[in-house]
Amino acid sequence: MCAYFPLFRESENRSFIERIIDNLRGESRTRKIIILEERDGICEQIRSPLPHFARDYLLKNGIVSLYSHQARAIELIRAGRDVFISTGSGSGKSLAFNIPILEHLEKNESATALYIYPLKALANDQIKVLKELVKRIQNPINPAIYDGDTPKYIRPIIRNRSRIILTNPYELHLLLPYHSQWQRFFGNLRFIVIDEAHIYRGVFGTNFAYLLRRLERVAENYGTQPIYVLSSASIGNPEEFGEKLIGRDLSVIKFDGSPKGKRYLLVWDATDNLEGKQENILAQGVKILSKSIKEGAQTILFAKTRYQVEKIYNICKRLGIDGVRAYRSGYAPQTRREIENQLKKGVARGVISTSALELGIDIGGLDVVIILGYPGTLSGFWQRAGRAGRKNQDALIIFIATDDALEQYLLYHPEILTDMEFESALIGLENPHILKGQLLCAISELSLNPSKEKFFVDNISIGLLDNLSKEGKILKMDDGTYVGTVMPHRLVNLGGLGDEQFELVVDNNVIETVELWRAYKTLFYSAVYLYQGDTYVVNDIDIDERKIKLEKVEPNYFVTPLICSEAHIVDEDVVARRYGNFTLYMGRLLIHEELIGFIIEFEGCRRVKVTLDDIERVELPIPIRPFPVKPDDFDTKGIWFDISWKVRASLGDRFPGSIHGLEHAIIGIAPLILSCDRWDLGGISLPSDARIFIYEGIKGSAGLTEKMFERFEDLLKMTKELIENCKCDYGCPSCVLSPKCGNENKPMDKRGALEIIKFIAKF
Amino acid sequence: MQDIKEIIDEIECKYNGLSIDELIGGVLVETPYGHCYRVHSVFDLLLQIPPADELKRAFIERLELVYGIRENLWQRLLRYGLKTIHDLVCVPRYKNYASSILDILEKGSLQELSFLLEQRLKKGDKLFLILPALVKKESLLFVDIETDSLNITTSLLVLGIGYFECDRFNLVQYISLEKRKDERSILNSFLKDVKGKNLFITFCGRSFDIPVLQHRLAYYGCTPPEIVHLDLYHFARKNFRHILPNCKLRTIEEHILGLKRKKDIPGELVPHFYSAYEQTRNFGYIKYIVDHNKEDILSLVRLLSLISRI
Repeated sequence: MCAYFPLFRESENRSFIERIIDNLRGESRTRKIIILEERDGICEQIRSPLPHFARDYLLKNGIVSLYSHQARAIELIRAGRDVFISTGSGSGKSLAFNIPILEHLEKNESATALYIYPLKALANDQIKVLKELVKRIQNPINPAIYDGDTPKYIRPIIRNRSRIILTNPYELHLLLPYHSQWQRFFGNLRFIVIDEAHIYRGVFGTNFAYLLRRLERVAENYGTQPIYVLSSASIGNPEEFGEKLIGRDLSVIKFDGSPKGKRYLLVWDATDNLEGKQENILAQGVKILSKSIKEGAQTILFAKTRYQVEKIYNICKRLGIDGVRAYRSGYAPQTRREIENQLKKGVARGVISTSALELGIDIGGLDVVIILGYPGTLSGFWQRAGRAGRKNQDALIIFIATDDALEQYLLYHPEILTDMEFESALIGLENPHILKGQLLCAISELSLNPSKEKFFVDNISIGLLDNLSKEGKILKMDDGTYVGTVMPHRLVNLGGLGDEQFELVVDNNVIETVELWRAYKTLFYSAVYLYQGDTYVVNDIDIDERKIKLEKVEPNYFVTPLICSEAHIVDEDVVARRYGNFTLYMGRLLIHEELIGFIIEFEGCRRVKVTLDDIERVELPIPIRPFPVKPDDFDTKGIWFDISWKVRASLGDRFPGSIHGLEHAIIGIAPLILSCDRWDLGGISLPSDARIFIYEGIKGSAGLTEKMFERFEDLLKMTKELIENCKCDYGCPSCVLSPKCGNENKPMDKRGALEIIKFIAKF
Repeated sequence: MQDIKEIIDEIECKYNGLSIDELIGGVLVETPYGHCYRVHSVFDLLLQIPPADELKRAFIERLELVYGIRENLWQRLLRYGLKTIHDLVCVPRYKNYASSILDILEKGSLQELSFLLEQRLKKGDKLFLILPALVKKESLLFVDIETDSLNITTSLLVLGIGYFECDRFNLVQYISLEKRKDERSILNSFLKDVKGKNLFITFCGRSFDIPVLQHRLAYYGCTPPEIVHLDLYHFARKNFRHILPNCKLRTIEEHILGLKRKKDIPGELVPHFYSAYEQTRNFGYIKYIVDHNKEDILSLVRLLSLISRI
């Protein structure tokens, strides 16, 4: 099995990493080991010398020279350019932008900078570094965090004194309408720093892009035009993404000049039933973790959910593995700080975490990273893997692949993990639903005169202005200026689409708000809902009050709704492209979703299927009823193609199952190319018309369709390989079965799906 | 409560159907941005402020204006015979500060002076009265606004300003007959009236009227005028806090100035009256809001005179 395996010389000098690999290589589950060679650092001088404070700081931290990407970033920021620093994790990106920004703030006594972090924890981490840096600067800069946790009495002091403010998108969204209190800060705003920029994709990213437009609009009102500094360790399309996010060209720094130690990537097959050997996936993770810790390596294990984290932690405790901690969101901040410090000091030898430790919180470099289950995106994978490796030392990354379709594909193509470009982060600026909410916010911040406006000038915005004023949400004045009549900020959710919201209530406490379309699918009567690792059941739905009442219980069943979808093509702007034996179309679609029934699965594998017509008549052990309100049909974008009659004729009765399988397989593999989740895409296969639709499950689209259209050939190729390599006979969850199929994955024909691809694409 | 019911009855019966001109007696002002309603009235009202010389003398005797001097040190300096800021100019340690303070008093702008006082003195210190004393009576502007809510993103309903011209007190009130639509015109007219004025005088304006005006101006992309502001609330609080149940303008009027407003609506009811107006288009509701605003501004003048006498 280990054809690529490099043999280490048997000597006493083997590093512990090598010892761990030697230990694991004998296991039948080890599929492949890839070596990523070490790389030397490339240093570069900058033209004019560094300011005094920076030299002092570097000296104290033992940094002799700057790496080439840092030098370039400093030069570009000094020249007042918008910059996107897109180099690897741990390459010193923060230092590269902190130096020129502080240099500017040192020279200009009123200039200010806004740092936006996606998580509060990241801001808490970065403020320490900034405070350390500004100690050496004479001018008062007073870096401060301004977020939901900032006490009320300090807020005016920060607004009036701080010249560097660290915040998050949610807080920025809520403080923008009060811009007159921020006149000093916004009026002198010189830099906007967006760290971990790859987070801002999809619906959230689109909202964020408009939030930045609003921020710039306010700054312009007070007479400034700030420059942007973006940074991200893992993004496939920094140029395209950065430009869309900030709305103008920017300089991208991609070449990473920092040194890297040798890294090994070990791929581990955790398939449930391997050669007749059944072994729990979590137990396999624990086994590797304990081996690694025993050899003396500081190890982190990334699990997918909080539940998994707790479960693994319990197994560890039971087995008596010392020095292991669990880490996830939901823990008290002090506990989390404590664990971070223990990791940094090396007291904690192992940690089991969710994605909470994925982003740039400083815990120092670790020796071994175990990734249990593919995080959904390649950039997420390398964010996690980036935790391994101190300065120039060797590091080991272990990827445990489970039954999931993508993971099975990666098991046979592990080179994708190392060679393929990161997914493109995509945002859909044309989404009218998102734009509508953001436009409403913008107008309530500053009046909008279309003849003078610079930011909301596209055709969609102008159309929306008309609609909004007809709805009475904004007023048109005699001179053509629009003014707001409401304060919409609390209603516009940065992660949402401006749909009707429902509150989830447990014992009179609101735990979450959910949009109608999601509630319709997941929160019907007696639905089982998972929230932060606990299970709840829907007890009551109050439509007038927009409240859904939940009860915390441990039910012995799980309900999956069966949803049947129809797509209608909106006959405008349809784009077509000819591939091999078929034509691919892209255009706007109107999706109609209809709940047709439920599947109830009880503990002990008993399954009951009930259709909506039967639900009143049949005696059910649990009172399941559909959600009382139906969401409207939604518009989105998608692609579709027709399959030639020749294939149809040759497959005969097998055709419906084949086309169904193909649709599922394409959707299963698509997240490898698009930065999205399987659940963000929907599909419909119509055997009678021999047509497959694949569309975005996001109202108004988030920009995924264009990428899918562009890279459809790659998508089809990967789908083919996925089906070919899967060892199952009639289809399994690793290839053509989908966990969210409205037809219970019936009919299904795996081989037929492969035949269709072979015919239409001529691979 | 009884009063309010009577007022509403009166509005519904007596004023229903009357035009705004008959009721309030103003004119409709046309601006490039739309229109608003303007009422101008004139009153005979006296304003007494301590003479500037007297306050200047008090100013130079306040050694604590100099950076680094507080109560104890001040007493020690007095014992050394250093009684005024002039005397401190001779002390090497205080030379720079003392002379710059004297410069501000003699030649500096009102902004600088106000900044210095705010930095060094407690709110409500009588020396703040040097601000109105140093400028001409004509450049004072008494301001009070009525709005839809207490949030700064609210909209203006009535903006009242008062100023002295030829020894008579002029009161100008801008009224929004269509919420939000008229706001821009009100602000535009306000910006014109502000020209030539140096000092805003308000009651509670520091936390409400001034930030709201600034925000509403910024909302329409106008630069707010850079005008010094004196909030009489701090004086009222300092002097009457212990003898009055609260420091609302109406309470001070009743207990200190000995005035009782007839048929006045409390400020909290303004938004409700306005929405009643919007529903019924009965200008009687507007009349009561405008009257309330008028009384508030007249009391500002009386209160300033009163504080000067204390």
